[in-house]
Amino acid sequence: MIDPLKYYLFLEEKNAVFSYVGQMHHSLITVLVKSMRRNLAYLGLEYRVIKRIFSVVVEALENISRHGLPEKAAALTGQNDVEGIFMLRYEKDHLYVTTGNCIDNSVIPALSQKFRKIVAEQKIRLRELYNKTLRIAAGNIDPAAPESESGTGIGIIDMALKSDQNINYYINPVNDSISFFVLEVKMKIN
Amino acid sequence: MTPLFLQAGEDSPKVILDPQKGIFEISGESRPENASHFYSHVLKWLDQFKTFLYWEKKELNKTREVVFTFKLAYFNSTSAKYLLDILLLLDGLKGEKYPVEVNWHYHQPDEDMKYAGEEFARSLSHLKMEMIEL
Repeated sequence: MIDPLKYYLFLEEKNAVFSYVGQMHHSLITVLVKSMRRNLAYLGLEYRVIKRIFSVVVEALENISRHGLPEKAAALTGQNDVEGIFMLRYEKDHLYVTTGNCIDNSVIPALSQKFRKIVAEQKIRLRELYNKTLRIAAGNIDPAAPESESGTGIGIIDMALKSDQNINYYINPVNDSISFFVLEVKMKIN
Repeated sequence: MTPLFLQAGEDSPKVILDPQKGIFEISGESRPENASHFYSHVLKWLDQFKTFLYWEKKELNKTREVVFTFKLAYFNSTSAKYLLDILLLLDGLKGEKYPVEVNWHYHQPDEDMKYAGEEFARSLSHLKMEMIEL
């Protein structure tokens, strides 16, 4: 069984340049990514690279905000504000974006299928899939619709494209109803 | 027709839709908390503008040139859907022979933003998007 807090501490021991554990609501994400962008600029990374990392991080954190299970995470850790974890770490010429959050076990088959398809797809086909998914989503305007219904899957495809499909996920079972989902995106920085 | 002005926020773009001045522009960063709500204002206004253009053509026998400018530094995947909605609406007008142009601006080192514009263009049937390097 995995404890999100312990996993966070395990990751933090690696070469972390930015790490966070806590709530993942919109205004907090805004503060996080702003701070992260400043840190990346200090590292002397190219504008183009910073922009790509920024895009991937925003999509990953917004996914937690939409699909995370804060109540389940709170029950698991005994703390109320552990909705997700987020970390950036260096390894040679790459920067790893890692996020983690609790998911309901019922979504695992669909989620796994989506990721397998995205990772295995040729890049040109992935671009086509992005456009197709976007065209399907466009035109479905309903101001009352939750954001999760309006952009389903586009964010994951976008992260895959921006990382040259260096995107992995790990599902760590917690109990019969929930698992801890870890997303890792490897970004080339040189 | 009343123009639409939306000030740029920390996570939302600046929007100027002003037919009198001939300025139609969306600029800045786009990842609003509720993109659906934010862009519903823009799409509703554009829909009314479309009706206005129909009226203007029928009653005044007049067509005006519309140059729509995108100067986006960043947009998230949720915003992408609404940007395509806007482009499809403009594409429909172009298909009806209205003189509509779209300029897609991007900063030189930002190849992804150029690519995003080119990908949007692939979904359009009538409009040619002008890619402009800043």
